[in-house]
Amino acid sequence: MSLLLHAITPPEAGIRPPEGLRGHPLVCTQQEGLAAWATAFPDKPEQLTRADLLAHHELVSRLDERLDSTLPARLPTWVSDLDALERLLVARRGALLANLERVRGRTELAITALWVSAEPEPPAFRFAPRGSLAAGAATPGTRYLLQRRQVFAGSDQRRALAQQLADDLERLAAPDLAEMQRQVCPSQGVALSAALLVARPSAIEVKARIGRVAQDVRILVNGPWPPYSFADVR
Amino acid sequence: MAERLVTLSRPTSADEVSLLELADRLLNRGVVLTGEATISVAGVDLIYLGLNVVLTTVENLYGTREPAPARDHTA
Repeated sequence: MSLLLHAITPPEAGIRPPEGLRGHPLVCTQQEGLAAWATAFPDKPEQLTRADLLAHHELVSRLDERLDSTLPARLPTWVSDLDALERLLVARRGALLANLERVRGRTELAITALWVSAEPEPPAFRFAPRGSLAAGAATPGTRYLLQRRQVFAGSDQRRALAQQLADDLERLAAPDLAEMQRQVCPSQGVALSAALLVARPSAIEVKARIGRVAQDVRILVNGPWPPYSFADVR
Repeated sequence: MAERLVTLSRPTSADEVSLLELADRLLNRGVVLTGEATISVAGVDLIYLGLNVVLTTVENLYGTREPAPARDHTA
């Protein structure tokens, strides 16, 4: 048997466990104020599939809906048996309890801000136009460096805009915001990737509020969903 | 050592970005209880590399399209 861990929650006696992945039983072990939910596979599959990913997400979401606090497990977390799982819970009990408290009554919203227009590709080197700053440079090497500096200045401007956007979003969500993680300009085309941990009753309202912000970007808000980004033990 | 399936492309639609966000959370976030870091998910040809740079996309987690052959990448 192999256990695929889905989530850690406070112990709850009243919940009737749903089925696990691929029709296998969902098991729940409780140890020292913690409960761990896992699918019991008779044999560990060689690979998980995209259907397994979605089933895991649905299962964790269902637990999260029923319970006040859920720590989703990073996929895939395999444990050999219930004894091993209980040992893991005991070993990290303090940190897990603290993190359950951190996400209690809260949910995650995911924000992705996409640039509306593509960033210009860096121009290939060519002789600078007459009269430009670069054209006045003494050597081709200096001219090249001056042109590159102009390109980077454009990137810096975008980074500043993205940073401002993140600040604006944080301010808009502030009344209901517990924590925010942000990545400014994580890749070309993406201005901001952020995760907000917000109070559950306010999540839909916050989602509508922040979806209205626009500064040369298109805002996508996903969730509310279980607090994946805030589950790891610090 | 983490083994990840990687193809190089960028998300081109809101749906793809949303699926990417979800898959990123399932595979790259969440509580870690064991040292296991192997990610090998058939048919999920996305992935963020460790630096959280979007290099790839999910074709469509809900779709029926056969996944394109992915290159193994050892990060």
